[in-house]
Amino acid sequence: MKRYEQGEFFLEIEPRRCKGCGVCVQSCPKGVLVLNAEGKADAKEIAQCIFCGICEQRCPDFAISVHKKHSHPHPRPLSPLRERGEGVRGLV
Amino acid sequence: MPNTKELAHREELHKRFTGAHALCAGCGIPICVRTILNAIEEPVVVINATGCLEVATTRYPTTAWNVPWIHVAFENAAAVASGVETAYRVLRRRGKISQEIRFVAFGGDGGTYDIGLQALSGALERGHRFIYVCYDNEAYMNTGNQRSGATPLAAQTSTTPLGEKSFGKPQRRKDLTEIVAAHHIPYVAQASISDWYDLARKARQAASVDGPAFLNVLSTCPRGWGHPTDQSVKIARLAVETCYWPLYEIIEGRWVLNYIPEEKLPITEWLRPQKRFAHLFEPQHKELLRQIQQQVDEEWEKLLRKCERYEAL
Repeated sequence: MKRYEQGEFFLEIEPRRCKGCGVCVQSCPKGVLVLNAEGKADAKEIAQCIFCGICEQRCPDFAISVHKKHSHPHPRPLSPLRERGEGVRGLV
Repeated sequence: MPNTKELAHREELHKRFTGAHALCAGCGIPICVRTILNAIEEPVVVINATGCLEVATTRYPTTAWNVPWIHVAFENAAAVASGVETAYRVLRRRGKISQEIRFVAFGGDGGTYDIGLQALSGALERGHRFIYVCYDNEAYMNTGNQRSGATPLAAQTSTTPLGEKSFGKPQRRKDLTEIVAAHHIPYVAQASISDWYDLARKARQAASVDGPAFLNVLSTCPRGWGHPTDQSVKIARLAVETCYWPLYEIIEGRWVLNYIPEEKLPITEWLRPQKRFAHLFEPQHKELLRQIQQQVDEEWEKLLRKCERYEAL
């Protein structure tokens, strides 16, 4: 989990969830996000971020989230099987 | 309507459709589904036709849905929605349910334009209160890119391949939004995944009308269309900018245009990045390209004449 902070907000990106589709990159109104060398989303220009939440709303894989510091956290845990690193194989 | 910032922090709306589904990178469907479900504030019941969305979100024993969800067969999403809605209406009349519930049916273009059309037509005509969302990716993508009624002229698919005597699909696509509008239902709209605010607003409006509502949403498919996965939103926007996929709505029979591009781009801008149209840029298909441009221009002119007013958002 990568965390980018600015002022009272922070942005979290979970690279394990990111498929690198670039939807966040193309919908960001401020050009904050880029795809890095591994093809995963990265907040390059975090200073430009206005924390509008468009990336969080549009991400098809729930990899990005925008939070306010000290507010009620809304965690997005991975499923227990994924957390254990077993994935679908663990079920078969 | 709440703005994006407010919606982004509505945790209960986020949880309706969750991650860990198997839809491809760059797929337009989850964007469409999330935008629509995030915009409807009432509790929802989802009815799903067979298609990419159904297959990829419900791989046994996992599911990506946190809302009541039902799937019966390919062709009858609208018929199932009618049944569920009628049961709800009866239970409500008997006082067993007090909540306002919205019914959202999702179907692909195969399940809507072709296979599910008569079920959809029946449900619209009977006037059930539900929202039918067609995510239109212009072919049967789930089974490997076979042509559908939504596939545009000259597109290569696995059943209309390029060959010596063939240049892709020889027929034009049908205009389903107009077919649905001919049912005189309260709300019909055409939207695209690229214009999220427009789509969210249309979903809200569809949820607020008393009767059937229909949304036709252009949804990109990097596998079938042959474009890079990180260009989906851009390709969808080009479809809007070239007037191939105009954004409009029909409220109680009145046509309203939602977007007029400042500069109407030539259709080649939309065709060029997609591999399914790559053959059109060879010299022998010049005439075909001209024909496609002419069709787009004609349909745009026709739409402009039909629209009573212009309401940009």
